Amino acid sequence: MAVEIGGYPPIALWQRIWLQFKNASRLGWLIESNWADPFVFAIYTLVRPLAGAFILVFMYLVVVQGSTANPFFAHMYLSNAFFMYVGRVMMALSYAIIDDREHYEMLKYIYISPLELFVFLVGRGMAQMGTTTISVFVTVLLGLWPLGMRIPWVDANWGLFVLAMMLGLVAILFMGYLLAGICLLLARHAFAIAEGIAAVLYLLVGAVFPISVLPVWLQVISRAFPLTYWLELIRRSLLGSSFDQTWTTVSNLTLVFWLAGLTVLFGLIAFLVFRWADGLAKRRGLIDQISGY
Amino acid sequence: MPRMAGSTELFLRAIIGRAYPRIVGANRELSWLVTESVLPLLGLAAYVFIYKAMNAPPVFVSYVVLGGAMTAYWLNVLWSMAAQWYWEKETANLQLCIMAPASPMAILLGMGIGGLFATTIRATVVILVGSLIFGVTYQVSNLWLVVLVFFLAMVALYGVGMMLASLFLLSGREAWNLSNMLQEPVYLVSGFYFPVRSLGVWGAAAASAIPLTLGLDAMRQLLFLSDPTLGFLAPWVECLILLALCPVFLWLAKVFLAKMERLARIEGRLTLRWQ
Repeated sequence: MAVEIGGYPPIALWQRIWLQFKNASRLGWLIESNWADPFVFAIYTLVRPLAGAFILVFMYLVVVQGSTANPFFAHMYLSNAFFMYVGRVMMALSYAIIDDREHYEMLKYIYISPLELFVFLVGRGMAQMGTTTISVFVTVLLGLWPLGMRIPWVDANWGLFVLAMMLGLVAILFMGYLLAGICLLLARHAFAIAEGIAAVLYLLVGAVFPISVLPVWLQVISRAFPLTYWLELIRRSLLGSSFDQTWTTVSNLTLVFWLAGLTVLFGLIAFLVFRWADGLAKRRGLIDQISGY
Repeated sequence: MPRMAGSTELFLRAIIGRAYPRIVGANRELSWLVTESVLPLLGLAAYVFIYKAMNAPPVFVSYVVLGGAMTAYWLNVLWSMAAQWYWEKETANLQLCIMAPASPMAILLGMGIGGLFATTIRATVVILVGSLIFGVTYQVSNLWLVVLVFFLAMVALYGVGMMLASLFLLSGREAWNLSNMLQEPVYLVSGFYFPVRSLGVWGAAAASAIPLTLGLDAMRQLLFLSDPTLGFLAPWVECLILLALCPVFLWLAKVFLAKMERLARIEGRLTLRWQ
């Protein structure tokens, strides 16, 4: 479908969306990285996630006092590495609202420009997704050497891994969009909301321990999040087994079905919440608020 | 003509003036109390469940609850003290703080004292609720030494906070990102969720430069009945080292602040926004 804007030549809808996405991604990358030279930025990108991973390593070593070849270690370490996407991508989408409104004071201009806010926010999240991919890769690499984590590369189910990653990342983007909507209604101090939600999810979705350890009522809540199924599929596809007895009788296909279904559901909820928050923020005059704290 | 305040009186008044919003203002915003108490509790709950999944001895759960509560102080130092001057710069208040006749050291001390009070409320909530939920049992061997260690660790820690704050006089996002980057690494090297002894003798010795490392290790030894080999040094030795660290960090903070303020004035960075 061609769209004509003013006197400009018509461009296809997909071209318009691609332009918005590309420029938002570039903007996100510049905001993320242009405060430092590449070396400092690389250290910054890696230090925090690696420190988080090594906390788990020392916790494991102090208790088990043994080899990291134990399958429990691989399951815990690997899913913790992939969980990095959750906090960082959600933060990128939701903090873009706070940052553009309160810090750069640009949100009102974004609103009056001819772009789709969803496409813009997803684009802003892409830079963080890229740097997180590098962090995940380096963390996994350090897990293999020197930590001695074992991944049976030949037997890994790569098709399932790619499918799980695609669905999981879409689910994370939807959750970030939902938080971005909520941030439209909150003051500057809400900058930590994504980290807070990530902490809740870290506890609930079995990122570093089997959900069977949780009380039953928390297990029920855990099953309502797509990320629970995503992490289980990542572990299964790369390690060939599960460290959680909750899932031993559940097939890969069922897990994919739940992941896909809940991703769609979270997408619907995210769009509805964002639309509601957007309308309320406009009525209350919050789009250009500078809360000052 | 109104009486001019003496320098000591001005110093004290600046401390009280800056501590006031931290004590009163911070507790007016209830959402902060929730996010700063509930979120650390959720974070530490994840670590508790990791130990439970590994069938670790219960004392490790106690270590996590205490460590999780102490994260509140580190976060307060990083974000409400060191990074505070970044927010002040962004809202054009920093120049007013520098123009005022009060010493920046007094302003930061006020921030520290107020922040310590507000954070203690949050840390207490985390310890009480965490202990209740996860069944932590305490066996206090020397309460006065616990109080002394905590006090010394806090003085030294907020000295570190003042040093970090001086960086924000010069920098904007670089320093903000530095704060962001320091969060987890300090959790790691200070052994917030495991005994610091696990880092090895040299690793733990190097980590002792961060006051919370020794403070946390000593408090764990004094509060819980645990295997003595899990502790790094004897609590009284750790107390003495902290006693030595306090004046060092406060002096370094004073030197850093004076140097950075001068540099920031020369380079015209005090009013620089949107860096």
